[in-house]
Amino acid sequence: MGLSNGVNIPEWLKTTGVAACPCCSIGRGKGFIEKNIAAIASFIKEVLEPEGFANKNGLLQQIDPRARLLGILLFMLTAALLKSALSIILLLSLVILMAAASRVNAMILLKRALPVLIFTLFLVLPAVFNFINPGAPVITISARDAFPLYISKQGLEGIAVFLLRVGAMVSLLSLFMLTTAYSDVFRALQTFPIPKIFVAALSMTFRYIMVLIKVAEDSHLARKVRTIKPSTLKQGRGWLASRIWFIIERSMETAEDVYLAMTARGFMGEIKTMTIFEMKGRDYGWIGFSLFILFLSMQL
Amino acid sequence: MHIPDGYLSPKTCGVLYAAMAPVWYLSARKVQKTLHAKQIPLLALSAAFTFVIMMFNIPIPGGTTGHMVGGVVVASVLGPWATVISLSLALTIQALLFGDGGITTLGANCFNMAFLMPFAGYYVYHIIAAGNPGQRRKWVALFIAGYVAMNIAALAVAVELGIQPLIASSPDGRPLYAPYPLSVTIPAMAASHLMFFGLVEAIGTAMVVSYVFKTNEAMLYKPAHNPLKPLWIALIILIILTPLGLLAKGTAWGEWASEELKSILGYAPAGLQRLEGLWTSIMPGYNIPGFDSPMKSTLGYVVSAALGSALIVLTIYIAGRIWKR
Repeated sequence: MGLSNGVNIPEWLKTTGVAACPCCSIGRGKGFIEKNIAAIASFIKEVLEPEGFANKNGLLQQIDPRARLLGILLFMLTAALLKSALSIILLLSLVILMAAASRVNAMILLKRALPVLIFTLFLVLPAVFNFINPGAPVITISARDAFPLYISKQGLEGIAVFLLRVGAMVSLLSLFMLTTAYSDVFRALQTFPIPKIFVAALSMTFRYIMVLIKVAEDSHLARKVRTIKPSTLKQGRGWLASRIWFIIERSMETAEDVYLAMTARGFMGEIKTMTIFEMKGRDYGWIGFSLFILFLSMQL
Repeated sequence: MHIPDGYLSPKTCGVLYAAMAPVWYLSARKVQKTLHAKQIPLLALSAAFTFVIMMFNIPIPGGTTGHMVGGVVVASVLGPWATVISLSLALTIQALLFGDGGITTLGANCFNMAFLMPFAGYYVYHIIAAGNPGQRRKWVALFIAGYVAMNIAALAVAVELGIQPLIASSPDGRPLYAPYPLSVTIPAMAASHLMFFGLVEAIGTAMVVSYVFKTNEAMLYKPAHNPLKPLWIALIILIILTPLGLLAKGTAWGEWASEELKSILGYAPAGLQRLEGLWTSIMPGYNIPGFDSPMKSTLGYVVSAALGSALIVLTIYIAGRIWKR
């Protein structure tokens, strides 16, 4: 109907399936603009949609965030020091018990640890063979004297311990992050012997990442909706360079504005916080428990 | 490039945290001197843009895209010292909130990406662009700076991963941490970074910074004095010290037991010998004296672990009380 009343739609606009701009579909798969938009969207989703475990009334949530962080770091050190698969499995079981007691869904914990675990698995798979880890053969693939190829017991055990260790450490950090609100993470860090300006800058960094990421998203979306004519790779790169620089310029301007706003509110260059160090019996109990497990592991 | 938790032995992590401590301290001092009270918002915002830059896919010839770290881009705006802090903050946020890189390996990741990379890129650029370079030489200098910086950082990652089987294996030869030796990690990292990631960083660095040369050059970092001067000084010191280092052998300085001192000096100071016997722990070897059977020995382990933890908790408690006051 639309075509019959005299509106001429150009041929190139009728074709679908091919992205209009080479920078949106270079070679195979998506182009950099679409990839960047997808990356930004998934980032915003991840930050703005916390699973809500931090507000639940579980074991870890009841512990002071500072004690919680210290305890989790001690558990991570324990995981780093353990040498046998069995001992790491025991620790991992403890992590799962802690997650359950903190009302954190084990599947959510696994989902967080999975990307690193899958990456690690593919990375270490060749290490099961004798050419990386020679030892007692478990499965022999080629028995030729010139080039024997087999899966070694040492290789299998080595990657099992490695994967379990990575899994335990990643799960512990994820458990802390899932049970702690972002503001409490930065509050907890203030207790550690890190200069206050770094912690203050860290929480400010997190806040302004959201501002800058919005700038980046807007420029990418604006570019995408305006793209009707194919542009060259060089033009695409030139555009991206200008946008990256725009973000840098914007951030420098914002830093100046933030500084002026801070000065106007009486900031003289010295950081003052309202944190009062007050921990309860259960916080000390938690630190004591994590230290106890660490010391036990050192003697295994 | 981001090393996750569990890949490096605690010793390696400790050494790299210790290596970064003076770098962070010096960077903080330098930044404080130049930025004063402005430092917090400026560092925070620059860390934020570093984080955002790391998310961008850069198109490279051949139809693929890749992420850049942006160490050299940031160094060209802030100078190498402030970049150390800015990138360290960005890497901390990535590790804590997004599980990109580990917490125990944060020292290592900062050493590779927040220290080696910006400094390598900064100096490579200034060596190639020394004098009065034209647009073309600047572009080439930036491209090579990005490429070299990325590959130096990758080499550091390869060495850190590759030494793990050497320093941490179980008695039966089983690797405890990253399982590949240097003969595997170095070629693997070299191949991927010389062919691909180095190219992404090189193109990204050249395209962003050369864009600024054309539009707003005033925003780029200008060193107060000849940027190559510290490099020359460091090179001269290294040249002088290298033969001395080759001559040195034996135990680390100051860590001698009286036996070793005796072999070094010909005698052991009497005072040291006296002091050595002064302190024997209450539970030598984490065991309770007299608890010799395996069952009792296990109990001894548990009791000493419990006592050790209780003592530390008590110390934290007392420190907390004093602090509150």
